[in-house]
Amino acid sequence: MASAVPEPRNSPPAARIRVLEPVSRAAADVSADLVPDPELIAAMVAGEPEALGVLYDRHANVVFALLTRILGDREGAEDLLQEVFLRAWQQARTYDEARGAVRCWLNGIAHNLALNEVRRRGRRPRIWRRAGGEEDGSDAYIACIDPAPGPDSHACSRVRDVGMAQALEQLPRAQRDVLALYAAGFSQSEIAAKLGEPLGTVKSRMRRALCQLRESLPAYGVDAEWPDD
Amino acid sequence: MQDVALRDHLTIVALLPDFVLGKLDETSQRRVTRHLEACPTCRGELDNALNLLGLLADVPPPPLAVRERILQRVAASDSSSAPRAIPSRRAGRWARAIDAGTLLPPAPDRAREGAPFGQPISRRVLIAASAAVFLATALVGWSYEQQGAMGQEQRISALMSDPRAAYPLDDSDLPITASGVVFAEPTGRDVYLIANGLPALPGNQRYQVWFFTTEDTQVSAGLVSAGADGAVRALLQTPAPFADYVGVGLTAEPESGSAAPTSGMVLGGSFPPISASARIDRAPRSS
Repeated sequence: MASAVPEPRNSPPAARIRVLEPVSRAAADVSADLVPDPELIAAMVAGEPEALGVLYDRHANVVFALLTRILGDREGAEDLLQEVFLRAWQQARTYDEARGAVRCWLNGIAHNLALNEVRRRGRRPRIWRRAGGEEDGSDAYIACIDPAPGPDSHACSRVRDVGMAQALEQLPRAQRDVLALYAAGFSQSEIAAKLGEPLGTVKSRMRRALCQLRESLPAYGVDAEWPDD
Repeated sequence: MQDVALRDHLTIVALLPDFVLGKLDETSQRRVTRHLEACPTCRGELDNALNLLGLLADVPPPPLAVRERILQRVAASDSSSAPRAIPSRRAGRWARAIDAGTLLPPAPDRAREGAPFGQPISRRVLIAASAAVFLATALVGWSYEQQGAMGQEQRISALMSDPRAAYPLDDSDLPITASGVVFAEPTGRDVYLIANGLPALPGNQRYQVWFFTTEDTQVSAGLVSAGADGAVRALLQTPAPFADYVGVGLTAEPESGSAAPTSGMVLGGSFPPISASARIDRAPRSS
């Protein structure tokens, strides 16, 4: 299965290890990460549960983040995440590539389930509760809008992905602030109240920011999957 | 008439962010839903908003158990609930991936620069990849070797119980599909190494594990042997607390070990600076 590594060379000690002679390996060409999502769906239709596992590894984090923001609690989001992927398994044959990327399909299932759950609970979703137990309905999230932007302190630092952070850096500060609060689960009117801006201003900033990110994220290597891809 | 349609379209688009969060009142919710049923353009906008919220939201990844539960339920479901529509016949890249046993998630981009093996990759990628590596290992039936002492098992369990303490090994100087993960606590010296798919070595060689500091120096954490399947499971100790190191690498060395690496890195990975990684979110370094 594995090829032998060449004999070590008598090179001087180096902190930075240099390139060895390539070792060819056929498996490198068939890694599961090369399998496009639609092929995974086809494999699921054919009854291959491993394909569901790969699909989960690829998309679960984003779907889970979405669910958590809508529901406002992790426990509920975990339950629904399970439901999303079970439905994906059961309804795999209904996926139509022409209607959008697999991520969009999964997000759509998640969104429908989450809105139903919100309605079922008969109340507005709770705002995400931070690990410290502080309710985000307070002004705690204003902390993510730092008046002195810097590499580690502006709104980008709320986003885990470096590519996403780089894309956010290209946005005007006012748009980043709106997005940071939106990503924290605040509605546009709540954002307007927190920022002391008119609702219309917040909506237009939001709209421009979403459009710009949609355009720029692929260039930063973010695994965004847009409907028209 | 067109103006009315356009106005309605713009109104709906402006409502979508709140629709995504489920924060519209019932009337607006119904209005958006009706519009979406008839407007593919706005459905595209909705997809965009959903995707961006999922990407932007600062939410730790789901527990590993969720994936397990899903696959267990799928396995337990009877054939009537399975989506099997045609006889199971693997084709294309999926079939080759299955046959090659490489059911691992995509590796992060390796085009990085900086300390030993490049810039630390994002925390999100680290967590997701390490969890996935761990799960993929579990999926193929891995069970780590019984350690001699109960204390050692407990130390390993403690390290592995925290996905935030997992750092994937996804870099290599070789075009191989080896992968791995190290589990470590910033202030501790225990490091649990899991590696899969390592190339077989000649009988007179073993893998040596190196930890790298920001000063571009390295220390050996010992020699390890890969099984016939290319797998390594080893509880190692670093001379200094784990937080002092910025990367780890495995090299092929003579069986007695080397004072410094003498071959290329077969498998390795970088760690984000601990001071910054205390926060899950971290902006890219400016340099």
